Amino acid sequence: MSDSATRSGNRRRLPVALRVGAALLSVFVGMALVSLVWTPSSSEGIDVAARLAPPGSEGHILGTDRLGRDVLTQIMSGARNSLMVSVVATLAALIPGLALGLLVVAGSSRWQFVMSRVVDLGVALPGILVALVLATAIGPGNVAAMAAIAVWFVPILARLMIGPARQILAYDYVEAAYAYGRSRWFVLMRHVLPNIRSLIIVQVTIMFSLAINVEAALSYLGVGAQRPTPSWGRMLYEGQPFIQDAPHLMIYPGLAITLTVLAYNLVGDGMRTWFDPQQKAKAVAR
Amino acid sequence: MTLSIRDLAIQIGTDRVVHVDALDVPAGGRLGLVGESGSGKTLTAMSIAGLLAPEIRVNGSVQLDGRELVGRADRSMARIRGAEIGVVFQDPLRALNPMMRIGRQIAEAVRLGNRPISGAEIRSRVVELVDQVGLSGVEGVTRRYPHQLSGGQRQRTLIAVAIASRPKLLIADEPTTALDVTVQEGILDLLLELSTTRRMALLFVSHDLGVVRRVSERVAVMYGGRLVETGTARSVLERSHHRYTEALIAASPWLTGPTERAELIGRPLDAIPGSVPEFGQFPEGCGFRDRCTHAIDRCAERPPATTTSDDHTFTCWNPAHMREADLHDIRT
Amino acid sequence: MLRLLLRSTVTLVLSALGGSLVIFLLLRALGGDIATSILGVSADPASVAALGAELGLDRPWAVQYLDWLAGFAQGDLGRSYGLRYDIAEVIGNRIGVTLSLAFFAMVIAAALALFFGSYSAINAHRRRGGLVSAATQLGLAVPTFWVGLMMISVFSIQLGWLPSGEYVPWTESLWGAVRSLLMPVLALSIPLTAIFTRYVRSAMLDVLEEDFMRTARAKGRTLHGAIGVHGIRNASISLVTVGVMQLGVLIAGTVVIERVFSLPGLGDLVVSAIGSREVLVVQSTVFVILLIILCLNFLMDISYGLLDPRIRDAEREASHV
Repeated sequence: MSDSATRSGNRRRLPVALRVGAALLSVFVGMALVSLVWTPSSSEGIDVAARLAPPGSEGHILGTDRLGRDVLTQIMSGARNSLMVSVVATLAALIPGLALGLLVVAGSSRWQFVMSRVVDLGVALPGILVALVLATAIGPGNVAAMAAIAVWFVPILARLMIGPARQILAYDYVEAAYAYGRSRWFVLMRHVLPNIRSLIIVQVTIMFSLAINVEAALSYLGVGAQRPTPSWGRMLYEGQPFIQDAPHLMIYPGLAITLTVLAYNLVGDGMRTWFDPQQKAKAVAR
Repeated sequence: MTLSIRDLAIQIGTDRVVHVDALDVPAGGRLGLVGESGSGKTLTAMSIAGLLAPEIRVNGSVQLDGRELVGRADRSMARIRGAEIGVVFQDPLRALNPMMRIGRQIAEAVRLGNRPISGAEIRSRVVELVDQVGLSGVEGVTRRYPHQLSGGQRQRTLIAVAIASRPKLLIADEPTTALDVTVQEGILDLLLELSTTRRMALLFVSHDLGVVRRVSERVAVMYGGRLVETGTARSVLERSHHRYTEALIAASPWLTGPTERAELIGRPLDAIPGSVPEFGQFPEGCGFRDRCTHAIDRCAERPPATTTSDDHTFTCWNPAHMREADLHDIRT
Repeated sequence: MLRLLLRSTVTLVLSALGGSLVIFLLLRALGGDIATSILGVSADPASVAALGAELGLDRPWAVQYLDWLAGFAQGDLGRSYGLRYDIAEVIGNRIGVTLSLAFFAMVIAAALALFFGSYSAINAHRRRGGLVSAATQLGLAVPTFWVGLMMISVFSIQLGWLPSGEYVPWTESLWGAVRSLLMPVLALSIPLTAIFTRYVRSAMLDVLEEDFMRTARAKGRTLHGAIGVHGIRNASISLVTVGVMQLGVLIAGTVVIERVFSLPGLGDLVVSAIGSREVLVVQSTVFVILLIILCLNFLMDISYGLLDPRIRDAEREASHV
């Protein structure tokens, strides 16, 4: 179990989790993209005659809902909404989150202590709670959902950075950079950020999955996407009264959420082991 | 024989990392097992008590008072080592649970090693043990946590744990290595005293020849997972035959007693060239030959065990301190 | 200990004040005029102004905020705009449901995680250990509310074993309460169990490496015995820290699961209040939920210090400086 063996053995092969996750993810991204140009039927195609059709009915592989709208069509368009919300919210949080993290580690130790507490408080706040307040203030909808998710992510990102950033600041070469007269901000941008790049990439992937989960919960609660915007959570909400007669209205959107979140998590975990093969070796060697 | 080892083979994955042909410790006997780190001495000691990770395979025979220990299920082995084998580990801080009071950790050993036993008996036995290992002077010691004790006190605690069951065999794995030199003496005295007063067999594992010499009657030297030399402490350390033992002694500063120490001053220590290879990467034949300054061509063959008249065994083609005539015997 | 207690208390109070201010400002600054939104855009300005005055919305924000806080301290949260119910009383009636859900989900998740996490750590090399990891992946991915819906579909509708949507208070019938909370609690505990299991697993992998585990075995414990006595004890410390971080996940899950099972808890209250633009109800209820999170945070902070004797001593030493 020598070091060289594990290193050369894992070097150029992508982790299984990453490959499975990426494959699964491409299905959903593909669905979202295809839905832009083509869907099995028009997304608001109300067809009362075909209402609550079971899966496998003619023209409706996954059945129809209470108004006869095609379930597969809605799932495809729902993928678009989920991906859009998760990407926008995460990217919106990225810069403020990183900036907040840097701001914390840039200060004196007293400042760092106080700010860490503030960040901890932010992390303790559930995204859904933020969303409920925002939805009350600006009204339910995708905007409230995205804003809430982004606000929720900012302290999470900052929290993630603080520990590793502090470690890097303690290294000798960073001390050397100070000795050359570099400013603290220069050091942070030039030495700290690049060094935690892989950490951030993994976290962004994980945040995509969190965002999809929360978006689904919010639209289920009626706080997120509103009709006619298609969304998986909304489909579950609308399907709930028919839980007895039309279980397919519950099963497929739920599966879609689960598999997409799973895909992102697998990609994130896979990348973690890819970036840090030693950690994997450790986990295997126990 | 309290402890009797025959053909003990330890395998990690596909590598056979330890192979001990024969090793005995009589009741009350004290054997020092010596070698550099990576020589397999700790693996050997831990395999006796069945304390290796489950994925490490052990074959051959280890007998404690005539009962076979190899191949036992964890449960039955646990019962035997709890009652009859005591182990003192190298790093007493890490070997004690940081979250548990000292008293409870000793009591746990008492309870497991002396079944059946009543609560009152456990309590009185803990007090007795604390006294025996010289901790009774420490105020409220049983109520303390490991981090609230000094290194020496922690090692004494660990010894109390090890002897809680009045074991037949005490295995001490580098018990003084993590301690200050000033504390080492006290711990060695304690181990010696316990071994003599209770006729407890002592297997003392160490890389420190000076310490081993103080404690042991007999010494076994390990290199590359094999025993290279065994004999009485006196003959092995003063008239070593194996070139590895010789090199080890030359590299050891504290082997000589205080009176002889004066001679040492000004003598340079001879470091052994190279370093111990990883397991499974020792050369064929004599495992030491790539670092040995006296290696000859013959060393590519595995040297046979040679036993001299004074019960001194070694495996070397080109031994030190030998008459020419005996050398001839070995090589033919 | 006193120092730790003091510091945690100060953190608790400051966080609560900060949180209340943020909630208040978000609702007022972004929310536009409350009276208008209640009466509709087409309502005549005079009646909007009258309603605003009646609800006390014409006062400066600072006054409104301090008035709200002062009321909160006295247990008076005012009345809802629409139905004119006493907000404090309604919250009081509903808080038990939310707390029961959160508490039992946490306990179940912790117990399951200690088992599964240890199991997968012990069997890290084997297929069984991998199976647990795969299950945690699934547990992390599956949405709580969907699990709830599926449970209703199977256990209430198909099998008819458990009720859904009929909450029975503890005071009324213990058995009834257990039956009505069983499914929501299980659904809630799934993501928590998955998260906790991962932490227990990695903590247990570390503990297995510890020398004191070998000491325990040398004393006569079997491998499993040593894990049961020393491993679980030490790995549960790490569980307390993760527990703190996952309180948000738990409370968020509670809000959603209350809607799924129509349980009259705080989350259900907030979500219905959003629909009817009951700003004051949202404001107070969200603040109460936040307070619950902060108090639990506080308790875990303290218990973490109590559990680890090393931290206890470090605290004691620091307080002498």
